[in-house]
Amino acid sequence: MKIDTSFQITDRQFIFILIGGATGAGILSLPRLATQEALQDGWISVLISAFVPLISLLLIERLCRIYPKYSLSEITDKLFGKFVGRIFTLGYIAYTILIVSTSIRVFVEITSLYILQRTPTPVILCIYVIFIIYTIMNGSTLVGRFNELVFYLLPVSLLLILPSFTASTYTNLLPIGEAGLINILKACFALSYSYSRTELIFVYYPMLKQKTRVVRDGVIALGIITFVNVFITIASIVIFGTEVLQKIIWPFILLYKIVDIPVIERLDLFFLILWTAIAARPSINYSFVSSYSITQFLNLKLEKHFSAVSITTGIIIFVVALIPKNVQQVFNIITYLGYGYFIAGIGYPIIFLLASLFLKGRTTKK
Amino acid sequence: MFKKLFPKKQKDISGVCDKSGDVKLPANITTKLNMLQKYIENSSDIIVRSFIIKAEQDINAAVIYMQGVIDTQFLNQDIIKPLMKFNEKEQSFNDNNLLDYITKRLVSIGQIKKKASLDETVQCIYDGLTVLIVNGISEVIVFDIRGGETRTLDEPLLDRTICGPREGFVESLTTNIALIRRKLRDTNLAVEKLIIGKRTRTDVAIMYIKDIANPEIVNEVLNRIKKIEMDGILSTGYINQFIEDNPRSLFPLYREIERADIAVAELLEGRVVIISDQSPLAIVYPALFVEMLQAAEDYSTKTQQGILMRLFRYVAFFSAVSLPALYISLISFYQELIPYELLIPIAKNRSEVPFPAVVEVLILEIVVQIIFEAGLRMPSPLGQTMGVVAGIILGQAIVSASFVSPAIIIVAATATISTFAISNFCMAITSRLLRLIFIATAAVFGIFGFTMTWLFLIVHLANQSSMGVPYFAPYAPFNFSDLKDSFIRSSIFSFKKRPESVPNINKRRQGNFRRGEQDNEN
Repeated sequence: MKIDTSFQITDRQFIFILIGGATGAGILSLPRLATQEALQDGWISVLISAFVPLISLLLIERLCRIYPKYSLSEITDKLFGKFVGRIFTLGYIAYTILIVSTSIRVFVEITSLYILQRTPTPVILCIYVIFIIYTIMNGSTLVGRFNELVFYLLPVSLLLILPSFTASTYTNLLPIGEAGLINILKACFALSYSYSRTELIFVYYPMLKQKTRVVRDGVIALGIITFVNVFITIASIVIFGTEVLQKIIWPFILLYKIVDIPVIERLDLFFLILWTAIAARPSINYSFVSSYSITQFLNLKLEKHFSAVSITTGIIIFVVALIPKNVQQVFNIITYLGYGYFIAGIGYPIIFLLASLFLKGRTTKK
Repeated sequence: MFKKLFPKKQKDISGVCDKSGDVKLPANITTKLNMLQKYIENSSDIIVRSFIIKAEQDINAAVIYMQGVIDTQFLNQDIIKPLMKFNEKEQSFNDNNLLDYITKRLVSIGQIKKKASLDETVQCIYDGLTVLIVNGISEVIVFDIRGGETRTLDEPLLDRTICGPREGFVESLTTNIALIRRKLRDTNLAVEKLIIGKRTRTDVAIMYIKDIANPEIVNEVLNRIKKIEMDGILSTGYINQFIEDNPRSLFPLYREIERADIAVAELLEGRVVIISDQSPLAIVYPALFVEMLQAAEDYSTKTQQGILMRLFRYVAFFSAVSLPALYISLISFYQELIPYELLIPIAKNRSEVPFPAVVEVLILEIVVQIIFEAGLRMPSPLGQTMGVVAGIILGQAIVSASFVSPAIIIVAATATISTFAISNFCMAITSRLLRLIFIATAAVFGIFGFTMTWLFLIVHLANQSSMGVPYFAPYAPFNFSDLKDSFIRSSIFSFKKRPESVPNINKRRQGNFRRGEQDNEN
């Protein structure tokens, strides 16, 4: 009885999980990526690229409606049999673990750059991984609640940018459309990583208490994510201008350095304190997904083995996160993960939907 | 073996008296007394008072009671006196109707029971009841005239209030239940009594309102309490430790209350109140985190004042838990976060102190925690002396001896005073404990450790439950309508529904009337 309830989420929590997946370490560098090709029209690319996850959301929802009680690994088992199905699941697990590891690594790099200069990276990483394990091993209910709680820090951190607008020149945005359609679309492709959160639905869908409003919830979540991303991009462009933006690794943090607020001498440190909580969400949401999938991949029982699997997943994430030598390597991996999203978020559901159609036709013939 | 024995005892408790292996009492009084003698010979406070019921033939009788536990006045006036003066001419009787005659016409005591078996009779004597045995009749009559010395009603020690009722619970279970009954005259208020503790046989009452409380929660509470197997329950705190959801959690997953008006408020929200005999504290399940920072005062004053007090209690909780840790992480890691003009005097004072900030904080923290502990048990006349010694002499000396810098005294004192602003005593102790954890993590990892500890704390809180009800509601799981009574308190007339965070089966609690709307219409 108790186990059932610790793997359930409400649809409000579902929205917050999706938002939590997207607003992590990724958006700290988002303005730079957006303006790389599209210059001052980067915000248009951000807006347009929101359609990619929308398509993915609709596809995945369609698929999950056919198998409402099964998560990804069970669906693949059903569609392709044990062997082929497992290859799909394994790909998904590897993808999510890489996402967690990179986002943690980025976070740890920021922490050691701004907050704890002399503490060795593995130590910070270790604390962080312990926190993740502690949160996920108690089931998705706790993951949902954590996302719910921490969500409210995001508006606060966005409000803190407002004073910086005193230094802005809106002409930085002009002329609109100068970059040209091709460049704007190219930028969209580079931004895909920032949007890659809909594939979480594969695992969280069967845990939803109410499954009727998934599309509505997903659209709300995507709307909020898009708003946040566009807001940050526009803020960075009007404050820094596109050329300076290319020189800054994490423009979002620098936004807080512009204005001196009395009493809080350094707003960026204050922001990073909030950010510790905000950035924890993608890692938690994704590591829960990976350890849940691993549990099902190994045919283990949730109520018995989930804690043990969570700890193991945590250790794997810890090791993988230590592999890149510096931030540049992490960014390279992130670029590939952006392509990975097209496979996991759009490729997977299309393949699965086709397979299910084929399967349906076969069973009806029989 | 105990497990086999225990359910039997509980059957006994609920009044089912059919025990197959029991010895029936004989009719003869001397045999009866001889049989009982074995059980009571080692207890010199159990008195056997023999007397004669005046009838056609004199009938030998005896009362057995425990000294000090019963009210002697009732015994003398209403039991022994009418029996000794009984005049047989009024009515003839035989052995069969003598017992009825005694209970119906002679003895003027409210609670009377008849018992037939030896075991039950012995248990009744030890429960403090008075037993009347009569020659020639095998059944015995049991009177409940328990009384004796107890504490009178008093203002509670911890949960004091200015605008509100001031009666606190006392040690007597019947008085406590009566206090609640007086305030809540609902016909649906249920009181279930259990006897817990194999040897202390403590009466425990479980109170709830039948058409508000969720039956699942009531059953869960009853089941958990019934499973307790212990020799002695000395206070409600013992029960707590057996039935709370997660004994490893630092937070109190129950609410301890001292006052009947709070108990009524809790009952009206669909909760279950547990009162144990001999304990002036009642406990409430399910409890929420928000309740730990609520006080009865909030509801009796105006809304705006209630909001102010609530908000400052949250600030107090934050500062009680994390102010020293924040100081450490700022002073030893991020001096740049402190305004420049303030940093210079702090640094100047700190230059005379040989220790790092952590040691400073720890020195003061240890002193403060010990003062806290000493003050708790100190007789009140000595309290002032300790205030002078601890506060003025020690505080002054510790700075001039360069053990700590003045700034840290401000921080530690603020944190300690904040502890007292937390309305729930158990939560106040939790905050002392949390403070130490925060100091440790902030000393090692600075502001990063500080933030991570808060995150751990929040996740831990969100993970707890009380009788299966999420403990951190309405924050997580989020419930917008319940936020009216969380870190703020909106007007009483806006509480149209009972809190949704605590499951109940009767949602609406008031109508739409407010501010004399009818007057406005006219």
